[in-house]
Amino acid sequence: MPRELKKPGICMALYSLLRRWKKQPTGTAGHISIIALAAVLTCTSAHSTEPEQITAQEAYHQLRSTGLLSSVTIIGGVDLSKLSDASPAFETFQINNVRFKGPVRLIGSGFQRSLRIEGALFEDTVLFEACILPSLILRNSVWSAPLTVRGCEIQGISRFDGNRYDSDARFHKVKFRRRASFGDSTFRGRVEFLASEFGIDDPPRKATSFSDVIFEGPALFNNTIFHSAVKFQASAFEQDASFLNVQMRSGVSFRNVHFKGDAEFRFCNIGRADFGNRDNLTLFAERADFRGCKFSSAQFEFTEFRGETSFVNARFGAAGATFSNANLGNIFTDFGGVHSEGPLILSDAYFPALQLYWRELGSALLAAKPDAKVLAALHARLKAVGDTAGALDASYYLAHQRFTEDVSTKLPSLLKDIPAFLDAAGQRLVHYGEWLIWGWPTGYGTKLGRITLIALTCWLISAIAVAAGGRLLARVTPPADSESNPPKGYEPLPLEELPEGREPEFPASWAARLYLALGFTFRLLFKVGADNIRYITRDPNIASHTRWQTGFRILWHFGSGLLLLLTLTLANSSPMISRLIGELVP
Amino acid sequence: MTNHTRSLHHSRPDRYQPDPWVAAAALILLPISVLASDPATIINSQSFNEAFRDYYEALDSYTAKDLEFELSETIDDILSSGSHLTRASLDYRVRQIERALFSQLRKQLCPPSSPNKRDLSELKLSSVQSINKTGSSTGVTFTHEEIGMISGVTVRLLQHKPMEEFCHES
Repeated sequence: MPRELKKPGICMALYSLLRRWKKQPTGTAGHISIIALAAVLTCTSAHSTEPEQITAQEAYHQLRSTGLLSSVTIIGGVDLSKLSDASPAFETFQINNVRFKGPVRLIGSGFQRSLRIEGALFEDTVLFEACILPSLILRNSVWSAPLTVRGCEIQGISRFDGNRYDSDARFHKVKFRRRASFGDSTFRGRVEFLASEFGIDDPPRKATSFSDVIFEGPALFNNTIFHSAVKFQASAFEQDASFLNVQMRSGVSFRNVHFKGDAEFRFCNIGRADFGNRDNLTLFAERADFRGCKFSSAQFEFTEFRGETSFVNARFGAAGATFSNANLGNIFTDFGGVHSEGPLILSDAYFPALQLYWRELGSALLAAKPDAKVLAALHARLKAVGDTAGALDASYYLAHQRFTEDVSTKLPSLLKDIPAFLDAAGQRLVHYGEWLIWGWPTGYGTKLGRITLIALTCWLISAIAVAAGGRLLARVTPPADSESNPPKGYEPLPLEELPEGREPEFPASWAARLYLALGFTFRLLFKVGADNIRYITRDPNIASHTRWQTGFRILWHFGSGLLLLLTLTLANSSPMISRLIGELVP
Repeated sequence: MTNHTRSLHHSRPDRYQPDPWVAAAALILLPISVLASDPATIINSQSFNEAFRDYYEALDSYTAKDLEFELSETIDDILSSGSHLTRASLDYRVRQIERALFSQLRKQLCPPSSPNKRDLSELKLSSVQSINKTGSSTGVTFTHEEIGMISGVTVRLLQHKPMEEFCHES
């Protein structure tokens, strides 16, 4: 018998203690040394006594008579279901520090006792199948051969903490009705938790624990349902981790977790997902696949995504998701089809190759109130992925955010530094002027609809005002082309100066007056349309006529300004015109 | 496994590291907070009672050893959500709270004049008072629900452990 296996229970307990103590702050190093020394002395002592060897029949007899089995080696296979007929006085069978040399099995639902096995060494296969157990405690033990738990239901506490699984461990269709703990364990082979259920009867915050677990082989949690919370804090997945279709309805903590292989969460359904924060950095060294996942809320703060990362068609709930300070630096980082009901925070995140579409994510990104730095990065990404409309919209929010940030900065002290104050004050005036003329009406050249609507509103208001002003307008024959220096469209035509044959035709009704006003103001504002509608003055000396005359002149120039803004906005926002201008003006 | 945590922004407020402004506000609102953490108020609150019932009833068949484990896990669950504690500091905080809680419970339950406090309502009140004091001494603000969670486990544990053994444990 190898020395290291002589006292598996004590060794495992010390091993577990060591794992816990090594996480202590510095200063407890002395304790660690003492425990380590104790572990070495205990586990390798040449004077250790060989445990008594007994047969399975003797083990059954001892368990039937006392309910307890301790510090023995059992030769041959053990079938725990043979204890089904034991006295009901023993609700729990307790097995401490026992070495099982043969296979162990428990098949069927006849054995309805609690089982507490601590410090055991299983050298052959262990199979639990279709069993129903009030509670199952299998802790501080070592499995040298595969463990399979299939179709069992554990109604009370389940503890598998402090174990070492040197071979594969399979938990298929197992129902853990209450909290289960697998903390402080090491799975050296493949581990499968397939189609199992955890915390069925537990309140939402009572968490199943996989904290401080090392998964050295592939870890599969496919189609498993966690009804209450689950913790994987400070665990490490040395190979691929698969959580396909997993349901973590209450929430999950993956803080300070290393995914060294691929991490696949496709079509998961998670309540509150916590993948790290400033003090608990989680790393995806290879592929992180969250395609089709649903999250009520998700926190990926400071998370390192070093491999391909896909959130394609992922859904975030009303609480949104935060990727603040996350590293999404891989060239294959895809957020296509992502939908978030809540804010999507990307502050201080690094995403030089992020694939995203503004139409899908714009509102969620804006709900997070991004700063100019984030918006600039988003704008660059949208341009790079060819989302022209999205890039245009993002450029508006970027320009507006820059304006907001510029005008909200504190001006230098006038008393301390006059030139700096004057520079900053002048710059601020420029910002306000730019916002007033260009930013607000045109959305910094991005909102063609807005400037068009403003122009049309100005036209209608001015037309109504003119129509309400009385009989100002009339139809007259346009002046001949040969006429020298003809009056401009906004200039009045004095009634007495009109030549014969050009008698004005004043409107007969209010509707006709409005119709004429619409035509007249349209021409004033947009410089096109019928030029036979003119402002006719009967007595140019009347003050009201002078005011109308000034008003029409202002309208003419205002219209010129509107036309300029419309043209510039059209040129900026229309890809075709932009391209055309680019070709014409190289 | 190496601990691969990093601290980049220590200026951020942490739930268990009282912010000076919060501390100042707490001083101003002291009468209100005292009222809010009054054990009777907590025991009568719905969130406390729901959590207490959920935890207490589920632990019916647990042994004292399992209940001690359950208490650690419950405190771990509470501290894990919201705070930024690393695993090592989380383990330390759990043990710190456990020690403080048991110390408070012994003060409440172990005077010679009242050696046999086993009544559920008394145990509940004692545990709530102890959890409140533990929260104050360790700098953790427990919600009523969280007090209910811890209290449910603590009361079960006190019912399972012989009082003499409990009082003589250090």
